[in-house]
Amino acid sequence: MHQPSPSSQASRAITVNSQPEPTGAWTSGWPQSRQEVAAVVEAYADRLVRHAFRRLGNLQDAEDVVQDVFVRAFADRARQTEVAAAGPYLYRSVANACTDLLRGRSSAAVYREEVAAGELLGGSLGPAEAAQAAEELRRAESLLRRLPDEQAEAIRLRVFDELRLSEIAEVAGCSINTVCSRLRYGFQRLRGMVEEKRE
Amino acid sequence: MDCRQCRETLDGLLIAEAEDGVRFAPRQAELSEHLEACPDCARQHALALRALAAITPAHVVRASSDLRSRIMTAISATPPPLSEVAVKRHSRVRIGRWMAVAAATALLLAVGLFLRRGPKEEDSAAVSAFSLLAQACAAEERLFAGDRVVHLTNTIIVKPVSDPTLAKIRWLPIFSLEPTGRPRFGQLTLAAEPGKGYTVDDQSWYDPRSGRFARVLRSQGRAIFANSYDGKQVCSLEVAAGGAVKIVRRPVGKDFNPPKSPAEFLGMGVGLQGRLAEKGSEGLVEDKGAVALEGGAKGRLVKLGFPAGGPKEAERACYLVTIREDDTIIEKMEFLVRDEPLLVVQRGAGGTAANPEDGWDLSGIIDSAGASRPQLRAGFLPDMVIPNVSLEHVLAKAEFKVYAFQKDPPWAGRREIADILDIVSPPHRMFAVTYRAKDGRHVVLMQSHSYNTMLGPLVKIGKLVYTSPGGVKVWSGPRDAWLAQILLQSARATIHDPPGKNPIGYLLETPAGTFPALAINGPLTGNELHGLIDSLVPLGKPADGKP
Repeated sequence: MHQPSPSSQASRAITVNSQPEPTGAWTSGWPQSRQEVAAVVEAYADRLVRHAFRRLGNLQDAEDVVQDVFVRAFADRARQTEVAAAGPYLYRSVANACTDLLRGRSSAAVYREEVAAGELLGGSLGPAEAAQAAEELRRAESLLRRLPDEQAEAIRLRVFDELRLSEIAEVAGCSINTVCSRLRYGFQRLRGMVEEKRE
Repeated sequence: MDCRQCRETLDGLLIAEAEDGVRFAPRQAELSEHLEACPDCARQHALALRALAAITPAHVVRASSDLRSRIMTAISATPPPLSEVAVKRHSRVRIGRWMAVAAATALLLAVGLFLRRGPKEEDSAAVSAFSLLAQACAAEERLFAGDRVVHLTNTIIVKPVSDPTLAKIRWLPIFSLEPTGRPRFGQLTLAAEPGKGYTVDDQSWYDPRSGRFARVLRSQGRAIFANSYDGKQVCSLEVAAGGAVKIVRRPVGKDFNPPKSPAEFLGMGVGLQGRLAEKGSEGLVEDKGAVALEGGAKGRLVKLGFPAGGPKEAERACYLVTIREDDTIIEKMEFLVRDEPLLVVQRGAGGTAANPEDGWDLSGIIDSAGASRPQLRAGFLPDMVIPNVSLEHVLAKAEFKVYAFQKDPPWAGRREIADILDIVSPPHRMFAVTYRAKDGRHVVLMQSHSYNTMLGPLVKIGKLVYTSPGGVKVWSGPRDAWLAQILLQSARATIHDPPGKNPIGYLLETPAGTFPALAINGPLTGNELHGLIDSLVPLGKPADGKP
């Protein structure tokens, strides 16, 4: 079997497709007008749906939750003036709404395992690709669940949700140094798991 | 870079963050140089790559293309302050979905089988009209806000229609509440003789402070439907076969909560929010222009159509909703088929009231209705749709041999069965077995008394494509796609997605002489079809492998 040389491995990009970072909206206060909300919705819809999806395992529920969070927050916008940064607020709100939804489900634990593969790309994947995508997510979760919760969540926010370190710190409510530690130790353990599996 | 620095770089792979925002960007040049020279670090690097690959999804989840517009539409329709939106919406959508089942199922048989197809109508999308409808739904919810008892009066007008079939099949869905807090889906039957019309009075009361409510429908002065919650018990009007009526009162269960969103089952917006929440609904809404209302007020007429390809769309069925411009309140809703109005729901006088005329416990109804009654034109049939029933329930209720898949389709998810009123031949029941498939190839198997008696002749114009070892025949004919569209549309409550571009439909013939209809929302290989049909077994025979 062909083994790639170290140099070719190193040249393999360790990158993940990334969308433009909504840095402006992240640090701005809570939008008060419909135009401002439209800008935040535009910047965050995909990211928040992804965030909700990996918690709920179902795209339709994820979209419902994201829509509810936006509608509820806009309705209470007068009381949101103290929100210093919209980004962390939205992520926390979506996470809480997902938790509430899951709490109401007796089969929550099972449900999270179930990835609606057909929904991954709004139905644009073929059956084989969808099944493959579902398998990818299941495999990732099976590894992450073996980590301490805080490390796993930091990695999810970093890899799945594509957040910056400072953003993860704000969402998680800790310092950037703590985030770095969680990512560092979490990734060390992951490498160990992969090595064990290989052996 | 030495080995220690290399390992630190790999440990911090998820932390590396260049100034330009590119993540996971280690010191590439130095790293490459070291890896060329150090096989051990190269092995560790390869391990890191594998670990990263193991947790990095290759396919990125994105929101549906219409989510942003749906959010903005919902926000446009949201007057501050509005609390508990999240709780309301989930509940509302579920009711709306079952509303869709009820409606689609009715037209599946009534329109699809009885009437000939008409010309298609061009779809028209108008976001502003969609937004206006969404605002009307929000306005409907506001009617129930405040701190005083709300009293709403609507009139259901059954229009004179010359077509005897259309005159006979008219109905409206009615939701009532169970003592468990679960909704119950009933049918208000509104049949009439050709050329004749009549009205039904629809009155509702709601107390926002306590959650108490009452709804009473009367035809010819007689109550035909009543449902209430008096703070302790749920009360319902029940009509026996001989016409005798009584009020049944049952204490609410410990998990019962008063309805938080009364607009879900009281008033004129019932089911409308659910329709708007369906995928692709924006394209079914059309602004039909300004209209003048009584008293000189201005209004807008909005048309809400049905998905392309289904029987309703083919018969040019639609709702016309008249919305007041000043407060976006719905003034009138009309249901039309082939441009002819069949039913009109007209808003009457409303406002605040002290208490319902018949009491929160409906105790006044018996006095006004008496113990028995003459045959009325309008009537009420309970349990139009009972979602999520068990196989045991089907076995107990079915009057014909019902088939089910012994093995769930390997590509599909969890089985759900709905027990639905067979509208063409009530009080018979029909049973919809559905699977929401992960790959979108949802499966729907529909069985009913009407199918068994009416679909049999269709096999004569079809071609026998397969016979299972158990004797189930699969017939394919010119109406396969039509059948598939109807079945899949009917099952939207559980499969969520609209019918795909190439759904497959078959008419089955069982050894028991029944004619189930099967639809799959996508391509199926011959082996998959054979496996599916081979696993069909009649319920009630454990020895044969009861599912």
